[in-house]
Amino acid sequence: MERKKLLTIRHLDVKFNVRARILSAIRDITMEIYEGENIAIVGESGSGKSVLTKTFTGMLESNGVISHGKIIYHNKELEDTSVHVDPLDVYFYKQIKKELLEALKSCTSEEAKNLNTPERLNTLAVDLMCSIDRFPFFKKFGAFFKLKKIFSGAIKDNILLTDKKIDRLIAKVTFKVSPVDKNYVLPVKGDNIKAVCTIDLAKIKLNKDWQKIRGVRIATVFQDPMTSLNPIRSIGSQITEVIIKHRGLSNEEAKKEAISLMEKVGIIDAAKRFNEYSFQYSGGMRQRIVIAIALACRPQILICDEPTTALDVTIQAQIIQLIKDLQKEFGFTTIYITHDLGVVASVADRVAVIYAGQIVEIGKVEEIYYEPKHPYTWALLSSLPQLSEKGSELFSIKGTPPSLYNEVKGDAFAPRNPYALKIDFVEEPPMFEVTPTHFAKTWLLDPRAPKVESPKIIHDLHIKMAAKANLEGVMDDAK
Amino acid sequence: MPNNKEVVLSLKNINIVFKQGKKKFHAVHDCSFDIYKGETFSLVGESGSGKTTIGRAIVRINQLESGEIIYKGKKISGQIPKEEDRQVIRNIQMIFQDPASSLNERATVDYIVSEGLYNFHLYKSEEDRLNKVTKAMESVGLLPEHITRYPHEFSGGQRQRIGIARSIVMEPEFIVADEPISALDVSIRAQVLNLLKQFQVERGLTYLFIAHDLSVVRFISDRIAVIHKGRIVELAESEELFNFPLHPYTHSLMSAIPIPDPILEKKKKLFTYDGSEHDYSVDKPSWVEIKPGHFIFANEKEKEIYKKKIQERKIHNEEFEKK
Repeated sequence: MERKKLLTIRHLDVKFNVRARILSAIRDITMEIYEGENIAIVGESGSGKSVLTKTFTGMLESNGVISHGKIIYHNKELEDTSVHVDPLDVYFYKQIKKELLEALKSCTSEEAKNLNTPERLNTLAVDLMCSIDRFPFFKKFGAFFKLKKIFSGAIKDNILLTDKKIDRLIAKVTFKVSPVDKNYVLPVKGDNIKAVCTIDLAKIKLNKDWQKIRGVRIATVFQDPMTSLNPIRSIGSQITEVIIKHRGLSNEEAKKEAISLMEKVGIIDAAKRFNEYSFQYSGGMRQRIVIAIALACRPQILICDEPTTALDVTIQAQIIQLIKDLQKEFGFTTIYITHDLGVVASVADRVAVIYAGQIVEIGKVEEIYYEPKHPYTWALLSSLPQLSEKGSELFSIKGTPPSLYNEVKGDAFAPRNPYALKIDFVEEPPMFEVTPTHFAKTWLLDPRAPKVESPKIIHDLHIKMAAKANLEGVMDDAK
Repeated sequence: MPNNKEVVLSLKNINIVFKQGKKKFHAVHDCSFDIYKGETFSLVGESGSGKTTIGRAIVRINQLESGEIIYKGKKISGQIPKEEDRQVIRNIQMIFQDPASSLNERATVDYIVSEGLYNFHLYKSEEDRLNKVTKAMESVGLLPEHITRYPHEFSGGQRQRIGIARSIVMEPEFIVADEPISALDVSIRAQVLNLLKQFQVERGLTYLFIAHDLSVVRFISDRIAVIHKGRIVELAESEELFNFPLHPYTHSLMSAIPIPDPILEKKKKLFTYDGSEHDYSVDKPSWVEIKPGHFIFANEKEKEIYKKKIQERKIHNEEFEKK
């Protein structure tokens, strides 16, 4: 089944500057997130699972940067845009075109000359003009000079400007915006050009741009409901604020909408509790309010960052059920971040296991639980108390995760891995395909590797769990 | 089995009430249970149910309103002689929930671990004290050179182990472990649990384990008490409780545990409990032993229902074994 991609993440690297040292929090992550799915990201604390999702909403701490890679957000609504041409734009266009044509003269390679025709360079100049149109006045100049330098340099260096290459070069500065009409060649003052842009979340720097995405199309529910709500403002005003700001409703309408949202997330007597404050709510109720705020703008993606870790089991079960029910109604995509494998089993369609800033295994939830391939996934499953015999020792992963300040050589998990091969300490394994939906990053899957059985303890997981779980009355169809 | 075991700690009808001016909050209602030597007894319940309050009452932090706590045949609640008080404090140690806030940030690990030793002067010489501290550190898997460091230099798992080291250095007989693993990661959680188990085997320790993660509780405890709104509603051996929960609240707790198995988990039904299924207006409930070792809080009518259930199960099991 071909599903629509929502986010395409390619070779993403995130680095943090901590007291003059560089910490690589995310190391070369490539993955897709599809429309309508529930994906869970599992890992220990410090593995980078929160950092990864923070890049989707531009909420990295100020010392963090996306040093490489792209996050393409496929959203029809945002992709269609229009560019208003003012005299400054026309000036930029003319300058860029002039510079590029001049650069072409010093180009020596015949092949490059044949491809980089003046017509093609003209189209490029129009694209560049459109791409920098979003910037405010001063930043526009900066972007203009940078792009001009990059492209004239590229032409002088006899680089073949294929479409792909152009995209990559523009991506160094911003994301690409190009006119829908391919024959649009001569920008004139006062024109309104219909254009399409490729939204690369990794390249968004302007707050104005983020405001169209963060909270509106991609919303987050955080772990601690106490710190994500404002204690000195009433619950109602915090919900209506979002509705008024992003959906432009009037105060009355927003209040009505907020109360109906509160009812949807299971707040009894919502109209009365509208004017209460967060301290008058219990932990579970607060988390419901946070969910209501997140859903106020009907987001396309809901990121749940450990939404239930601070809550009790009974409340946890209710909140998870609530998110599931709301998903049926609103049809958003959810990204869960958690370290609880029980929660993952309950919510996820797909699971990505993340270790030391890399995805080590990704697949459908059944594949990860019943057919895991990576030793780290084996270790995670083995440490489930449900699988251990009572009185015996619980399986624990020896050692600690590697320090990400230093460059990790080979497989990051190798020092803690009892199944490590010699090559694991030397070369980083690639992603091996197990099935079209299941990938794992371990040398054990290489055809040349010795055959290694997964630990006995995680065999027949389903049978063992069924034997332990009290099926009576709990299951719809017992056994 | 429980009858031939030595009772270490016994709670008799304790009530705990918090007062502030005229406001009163009844945190624990009429709660009694025994803990046997060498076992792990767990208290489970949601937050605010009073489980930590009971734990704190045992280590004499919280005052009782009524009832008494007996430790090895001696009353340890309320007004007791100073000498006995010191004995209790020494022999019953507590491991706190949050490793981030329960350690003195301004003291070195050496001081944190040996603070109890200083207070009771449990060492012969400075050398002896250092020796004891190092041993305690080693037994929790920390290195002797760590003792000059400060708590902020350690990770969450290591801090929790410092918390454990400072309790075991006192060579206690009884440890109240208040959610010692809920702040920890999966892999570290296993390390800490193994450590606690190892001490129990080596030193014959008795644990009162307070937790809300039921999958862990099932793995480590011998007996479990379920507490709801300050009242213990059910108490049984752990497998018995997990396999045959009787009280509806226990049932709802069980159904809420996420099972790490996608097929089962997606089929699971959730039970909610709000107390409305009980009608205690006329028929008053009491704390009864419905089956040897299995206690429940129920009224006469419910008792009949539960007994019937047990009977049915017995027949069912017998039939199952015949097959």
